[in-house]
Amino acid sequence: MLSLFAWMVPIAPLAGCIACTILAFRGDRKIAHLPAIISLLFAALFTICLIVFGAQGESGVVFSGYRYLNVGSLTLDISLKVDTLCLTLLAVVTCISAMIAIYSRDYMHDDPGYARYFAVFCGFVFSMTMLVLSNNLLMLYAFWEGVGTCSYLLIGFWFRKPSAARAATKAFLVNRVADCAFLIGILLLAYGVGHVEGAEASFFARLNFDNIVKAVPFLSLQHPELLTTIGFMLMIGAIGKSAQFPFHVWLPDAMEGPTPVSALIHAATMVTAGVYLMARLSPLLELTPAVLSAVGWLGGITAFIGAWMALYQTDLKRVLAYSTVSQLGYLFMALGAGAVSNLMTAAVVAAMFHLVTHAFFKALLFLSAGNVMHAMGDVIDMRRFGGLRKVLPKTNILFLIGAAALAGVPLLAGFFSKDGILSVLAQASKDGEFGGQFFVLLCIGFVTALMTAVYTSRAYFSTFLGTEKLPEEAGHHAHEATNVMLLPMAILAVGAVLAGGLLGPTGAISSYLLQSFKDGSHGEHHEELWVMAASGILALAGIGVGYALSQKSPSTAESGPLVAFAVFGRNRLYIDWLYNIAIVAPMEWLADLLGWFDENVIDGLAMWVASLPRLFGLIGQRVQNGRVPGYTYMTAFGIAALAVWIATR
Amino acid sequence: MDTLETLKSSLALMAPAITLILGGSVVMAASLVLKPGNARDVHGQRTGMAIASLAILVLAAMLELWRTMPSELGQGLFRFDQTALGSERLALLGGLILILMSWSTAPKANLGEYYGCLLIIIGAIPVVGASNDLVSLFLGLELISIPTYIMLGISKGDNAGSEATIKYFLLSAFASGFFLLGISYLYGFAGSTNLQVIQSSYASGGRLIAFAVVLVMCGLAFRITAVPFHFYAPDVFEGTSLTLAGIMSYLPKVAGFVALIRVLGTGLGAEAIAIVAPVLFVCSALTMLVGNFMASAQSSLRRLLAYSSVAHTGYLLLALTALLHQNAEPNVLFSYLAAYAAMTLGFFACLGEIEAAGGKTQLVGDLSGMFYRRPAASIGMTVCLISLIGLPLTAGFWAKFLVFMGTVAAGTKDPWSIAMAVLMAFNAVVAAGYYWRVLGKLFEKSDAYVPLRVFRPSLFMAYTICVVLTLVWFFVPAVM
Repeated sequence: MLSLFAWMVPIAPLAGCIACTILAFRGDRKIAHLPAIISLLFAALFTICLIVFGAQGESGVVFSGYRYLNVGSLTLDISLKVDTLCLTLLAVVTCISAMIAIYSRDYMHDDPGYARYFAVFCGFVFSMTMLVLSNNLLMLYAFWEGVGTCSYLLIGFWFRKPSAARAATKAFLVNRVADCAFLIGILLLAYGVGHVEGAEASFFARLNFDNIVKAVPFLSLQHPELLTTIGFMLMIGAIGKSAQFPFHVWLPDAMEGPTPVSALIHAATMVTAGVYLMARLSPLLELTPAVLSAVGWLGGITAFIGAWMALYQTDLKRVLAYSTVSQLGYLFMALGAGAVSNLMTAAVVAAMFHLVTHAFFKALLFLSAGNVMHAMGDVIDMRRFGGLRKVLPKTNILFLIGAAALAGVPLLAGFFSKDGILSVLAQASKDGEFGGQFFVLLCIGFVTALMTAVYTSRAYFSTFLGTEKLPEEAGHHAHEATNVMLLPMAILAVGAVLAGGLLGPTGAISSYLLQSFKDGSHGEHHEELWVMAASGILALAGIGVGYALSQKSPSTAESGPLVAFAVFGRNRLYIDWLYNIAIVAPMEWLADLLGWFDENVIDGLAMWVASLPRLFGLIGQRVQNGRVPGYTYMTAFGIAALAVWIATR
Repeated sequence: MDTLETLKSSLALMAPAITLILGGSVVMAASLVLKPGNARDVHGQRTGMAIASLAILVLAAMLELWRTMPSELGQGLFRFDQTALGSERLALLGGLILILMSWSTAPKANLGEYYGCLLIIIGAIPVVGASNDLVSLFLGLELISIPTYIMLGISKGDNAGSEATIKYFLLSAFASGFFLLGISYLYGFAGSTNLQVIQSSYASGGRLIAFAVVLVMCGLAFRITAVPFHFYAPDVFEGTSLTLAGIMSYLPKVAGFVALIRVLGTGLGAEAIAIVAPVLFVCSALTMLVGNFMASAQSSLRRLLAYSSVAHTGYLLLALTALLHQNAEPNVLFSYLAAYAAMTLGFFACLGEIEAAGGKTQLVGDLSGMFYRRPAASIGMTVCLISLIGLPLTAGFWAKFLVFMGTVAAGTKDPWSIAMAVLMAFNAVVAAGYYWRVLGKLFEKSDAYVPLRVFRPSLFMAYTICVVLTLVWFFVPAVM
């Protein structure tokens, strides 16, 4: 029964994807949301069934599917692994995707690619659920690429817009660079596991998570430097997908896609896949503190620069995008704390907790931004509208809830989960070896918390408060979103308010997640009250600063040392510019060169070779003359030649 | 036990084949009472005959499922091993698709003869597959040849049809002569017509037995359109109806390969293998090269498909060699044939639908812009072509991959095998070229498209089954 539930979770969106694809070909656009929404609701239902009816063992349950292939030493067994870690993310993915699919029904209503949108949407959910459920690292990688492809298709959904096509390509290529390292890591890991005594013969089976977990302690004794290399490679894959510095550049550009897509893929689910990968492989990473320390630094840098850049964006969606980058940085900072011995489990729990709450309030914020965009005639520049609380009264409240949760206002979801991360960092800073690093990271965490509150509140105040100002594109009937759009947002808002309080302080999520870890006893949650108080005060102070900033007229230039800070923030710290001249331009030059070589040398050669079979065929046609005597003579000659050959050997 | 006893005991096991052959005879008798009347009557007769044939096929399939297999495989005229079962399933699969294809394309005036012959051919394949005796093997093969002549003769009344029939008949008789010569040598050498006795004597026989085996192979090479027995294929494919071309490209090929497995067995001695394997290699290399090179020069779609069928025979011969060396999975040939059935018959069914809707399918150029005129059939053809090329997401990929792996694995015993694998890869590239040409035509843009709107449910079902199987088998290759 459980096995059926587990398999139905990915199969339902797959069926939805197939149905929508057929509808897309038939041109029946108006009903394409039905298969998508129904299948995604089913997936959510099956996930809830799985959570309610068990699958909570020490290391989870493995549901074997079928043997995909068995050729020589290559044996591919498709199976799913269900444990509490996977179920946590699975619940987030299926529930939020169902909500956003309902929202999309009206948001995408007049789009000519309606059916195509839902087909790729379901395809994404299928890939994501398979990624989460995979029992095998290589299979996880396959669906890792699957979600990447769906993300590419959705960022470039309006592919006739050059900026969208460019953004899609950029996201894809940046991810490819990271995935290349990831694949090397996987192959090295399979090689390493194969050298442990008693390893599976099959290359594929070695990469089953249970086998990896079994083999890494031996591997760390025999080849610690190999394990560290593997850890770094896997880390690069994870930070690519999760848009961490230096791979963060693709995520803000990914906002070219439809807003619900930004909410689902580029805020709530896909970008957290990297965190999930790290959590899944935590038994491996625990043995490589150097990697975790690097993860912590990268997370800290990303959290800070993300917030920095978010402060100086004028585009509402981009503020949210940089905020996502920054919040993901928090998650990686938390994971980094696992470098301190015995803190890995607590670090994973803190990261997963913030992942869940962030998914709720960030999806809510993006959908609210979508409502604003819808009403303003696709204008999203905050300088061109303001005081929308009368025009969009309900969106105003929903955005306020999401923004407050993101800013970390006490008792909302973001407050508890951010506090969890800061507590873990505080605990880690007491360690002897890595204490200094985590003390710095803790400080970054506090500063970033303040900045988060500032940019979030500034975005809210300048959009919804103040004097009403509408752009021309909005026309005369800027209107509130439909109820079909508001209902899923209301559900997400409930999550954004309650998820933190219900899951965090009660210890619900930590005790649930600990079932997935063997050394569960280490993961006790130490509440540090001073951390909680400090982050609460910082959040409220940040909101005050944000209010003050939003009252200033945008033309007023910053004074003193803030000028440089602002110029850098506005220009994305010149990172994109640097990449352009240092990497993209030489690559393009090389591509031009190779293109010339390909066109003139290789192509010419290939065309010449390709014409040969046809030439031979034309010669052969002379023989095929349609006359039976000819055929029989040729046949008889052939057999005679064979007979002579055999007789003379 | 004497022969009669073993024959009696194997009758129950042959029930599916017997059902098909008897059912075919009954259907054929229907032609005595059916009169070609007005259009409406003909339509009713067509539907009735097709449904009757399908019912017989379903009955045979059910008998296959209900039958309990004995513990011993059988030593007499028939032997029930994996080869017998595999050939039975291939025949039933092909039969289902072919009857659906025939539903709206069978010749109006000779419905009884047409369906009767088709059922008998389908029923004869399990007979060949289960044969453990040269006599029953030859009987099964002739049970395929003779109805094929009739079907070719009645399916198209024009000059090209008659020419195709006569050519096929003459060359088939010519090939059967070689086959008989070969099996008479085998009988003379072993002193028995029983294949197990013959195979047990392979180990002791050297050059003579190899010569006999090569003669038998030459006889069977005609059925599987291997070079230099392939000459009839393009002329016949061009001259006959699409459904018949589908039948000709699949059913005799299954029978031929099953017969080859039966005769060669797995008991060939090292000395005999050393003689037979090079012959198979030469045959396979020539078949691949001639098939692909000739196909790439064709502008006629029918001839292109005929040469493509020749080329696939080349790949299958490689699989057979790998089997001979016992380096491949035993079902590699059957997997390939199943995938081949889905992709080739599916392609013919799509063409059949286009023709039924009033489109032309003689030349490659006739398919220009077909996607905009007939999208469903074009998508079907696209999937089938991708499978024929052997790209992933289709069954054709696993089919080629398994043959390739088997051939490479056989390289440990015979270094030439590696060279053959390389040649196969090269041929796959050449083949991709001309399949791609057809694929490109389908999506070609032009100014005026006349949509083809006539809908034939039976043909649509036929290619839907093929496309679904092609796609599903990629994901679950174990059941292929």
